[in-house]
Amino acid sequence: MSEGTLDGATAGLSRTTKVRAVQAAVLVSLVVSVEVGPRTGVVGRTTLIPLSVMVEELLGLLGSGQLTPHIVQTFAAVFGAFALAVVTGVPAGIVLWRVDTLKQVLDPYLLIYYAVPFFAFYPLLISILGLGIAPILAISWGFSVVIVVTNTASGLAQIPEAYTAAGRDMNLSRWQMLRYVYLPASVPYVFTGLKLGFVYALIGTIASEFILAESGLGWLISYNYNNFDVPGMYAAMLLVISLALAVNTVLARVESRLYQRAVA
Amino acid sequence: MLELRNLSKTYGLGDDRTSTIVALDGIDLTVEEGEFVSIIGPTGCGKSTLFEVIGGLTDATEGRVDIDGDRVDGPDERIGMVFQDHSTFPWLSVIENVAFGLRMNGVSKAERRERAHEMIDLVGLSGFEDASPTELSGGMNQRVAIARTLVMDPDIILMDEPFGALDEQTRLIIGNELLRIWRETGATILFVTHNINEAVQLSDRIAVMSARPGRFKTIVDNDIPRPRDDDTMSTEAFNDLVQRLWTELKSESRKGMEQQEGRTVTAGSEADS
Amino acid sequence: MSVRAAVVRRMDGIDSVRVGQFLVPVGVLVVWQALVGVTSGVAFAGPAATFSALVGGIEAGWLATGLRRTMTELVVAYVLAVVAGLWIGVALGSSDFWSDVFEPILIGTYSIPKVTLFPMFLFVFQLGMDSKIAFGWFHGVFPVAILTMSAMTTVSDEHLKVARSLRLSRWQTFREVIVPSILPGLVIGLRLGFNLTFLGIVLGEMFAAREGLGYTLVEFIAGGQIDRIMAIIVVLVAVAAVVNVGFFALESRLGARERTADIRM
Ligand SMILES: Nc1ncnc2c1ncn2[C@@H]1O[C@H](COP(=O)(O)OP(=O)(O)O)[C@@H](O)[C@H]1O
Ligand SMILES: [Mg+2]
Repeated sequence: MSEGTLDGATAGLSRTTKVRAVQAAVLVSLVVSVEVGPRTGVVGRTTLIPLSVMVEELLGLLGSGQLTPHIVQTFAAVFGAFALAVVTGVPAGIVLWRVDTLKQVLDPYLLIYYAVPFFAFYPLLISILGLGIAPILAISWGFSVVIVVTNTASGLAQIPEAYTAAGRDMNLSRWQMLRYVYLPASVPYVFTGLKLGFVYALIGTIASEFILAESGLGWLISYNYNNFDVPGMYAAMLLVISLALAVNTVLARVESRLYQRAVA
Repeated sequence: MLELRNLSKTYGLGDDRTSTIVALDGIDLTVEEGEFVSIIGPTGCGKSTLFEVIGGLTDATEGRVDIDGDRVDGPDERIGMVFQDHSTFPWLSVIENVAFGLRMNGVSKAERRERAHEMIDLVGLSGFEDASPTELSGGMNQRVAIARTLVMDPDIILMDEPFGALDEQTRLIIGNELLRIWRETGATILFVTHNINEAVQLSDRIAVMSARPGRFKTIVDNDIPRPRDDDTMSTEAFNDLVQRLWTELKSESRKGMEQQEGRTVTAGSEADS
Repeated sequence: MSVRAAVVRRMDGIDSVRVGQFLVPVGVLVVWQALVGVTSGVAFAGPAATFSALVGGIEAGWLATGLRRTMTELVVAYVLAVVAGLWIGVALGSSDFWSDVFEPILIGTYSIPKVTLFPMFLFVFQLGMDSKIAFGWFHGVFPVAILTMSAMTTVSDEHLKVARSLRLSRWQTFREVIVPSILPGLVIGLRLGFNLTFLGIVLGEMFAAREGLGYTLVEFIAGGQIDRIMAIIVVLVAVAAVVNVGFFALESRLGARERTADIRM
């Protein structure tokens, strides 16, 4: 029996390993084609440059400190917008979860919210707030806050009945219920909202900078594009994409850990 | 005449297919035209696999299936299949479900309507033509599934636990109706069930399968005279046959249960056992 | 509480929701108007000014020209995104193994700020319509593919067996069994795909184009024509709203539910 169980376990493992291996192969072939494609001339050098050249350029720029102000600018906007979204979005989500009529009223509008091509508002905000960090903060906040609101509300609504019943059995006050039952139990779901909120703030910031700004990583890509600095452009692009993927991977890891704990 | 000759089926398991599971091991059976044969056996012994091989949904590892001396090779229009549960299409109405196969095979609209109505009548669903399967009970859904198969006018019908999800009363009623339909269509029926009473109520012969690897342990003739009504089920002959089948099945079921419990387990060593 | 009382209360509830839903746009208008007062109108245009810019834009023709261009790009990009996304989703979703392999890759790619890649589209497709279409397609294809792929898990094995035993061709199986099975999940993917394609097109036009509403929008910043900017925004919001309301109606008829917030956008 015990030998057999081991068999089953390795059979399961070998499938996961195989999935991982194929994923790695896909990614490696992507990386290799970005390297080899431009080198062999399959893709023109004016379209794409080899990955190693991008990396070299990026390291050079990072080392010389040229990128630092842009990184600071972008990060300030992302974290600023995200913080604003959390501070405003989580309480709004709690209110929405408590006041059912309000939720029903707003539901169709919340659903349609992300249908609006959001960045169209950016020119408007620029003409009101001027070209600085303010319109970027505003648009990233607006882009990120609603996903935080809806996920907080739906996360709290997903708390199993058993928890709330147990809380009531112990005669907890409303505040205690919120503090000791609802909030801890909803952590995973709310975290999903925060994760998406952060990713949206990042997208919002980069995209706004990209369209029209005076500094920041998004701006740098478009500036380098407009000035035919292809290596500089790809270096900035590589940095932004790596950052986005890294943030995403870390947050997704934390998230799945939280859900596992919630189930166990 | 349906002939199964030395049918065997081995499934490869895992990614590398090195470990295998022998689902069928040398099945031989000849079924005469118009016969009703039931197959009983423990869960996991290969009954569904057997039907999938006969129906051409999967290839046998060894052996062959013939109808009137003509080899079956892939899904065949002479064979119709009825599956256990939830096989009706919820997005189609009853009549659209029944006419589905005809439509897919290019039968004209007028003829589809006529033949579908006829089958709906036969399975006792008149008046429900435009209902959705989601509004119907499990029993009624199985009638739809049966009508959908019958409308293709197959010579041989394979039914894999078609009433497995129904309650006992419904099962009795629909079983009696199946016998009527069988008489009226003259089709050959192969029927899998885990209900011994049902097997005895319905069939001319009953094949008992052994636990995996699936073989026929014994094939019993059922001489209880037809028509069999509800009173038949309380006769001594009926109960004797049920007892006899149960005795045959009991040891296999126990073996089958052990296999099921060790399922995740035995994957590796099946082939050489 | 009597049943009657419960019914009355319930009707009250529905009515106040209806009234509230009606009041939301009214509230938006009021806030909008109030903002005009706050900003003292210099950098802002109120509802009335916007409306007259809208009418003016229609009369002068620039609005219709821009809209036609944007809609052409949108429709072409969207159709291509749906065809490709559906195909990818069905192909990968038919196999457990390949969906396991590609799901994280698709979701990962989906979550990067795609706008950064726009210069590459410009390199390949130049400044014309093609680059916008390709960029819109790139935005829209992911949600369609991801939601189709996850909807493929809802196709029942029994139904596929029925299809095979009735000797359906591959195309018949796809059209008659797979599509109806995945439709509830698919329409959500189609809606999200539309929204993202739209976003991609407008972004692309704002960054590099010589025509289209996105381009006009950026043009008007330079001229400080805030009322025209607002008019364009109103048109874009209206297009998005009309299409989405249509999709919502379809979704509720099919009983579709968004499964994870991850996929919301
Ligand atoms: N596609 C498959 N791949 C691998 N093993 C299978 C497959 N289908 C069935 N089996 C295995 O074959 C054996 C017989 O299955 P089945 O024919 O479904 O049994 P039954 O219908 O008698 O319960 C079982 O052990 C089952 O796990
Ligand atoms: Mg079975």
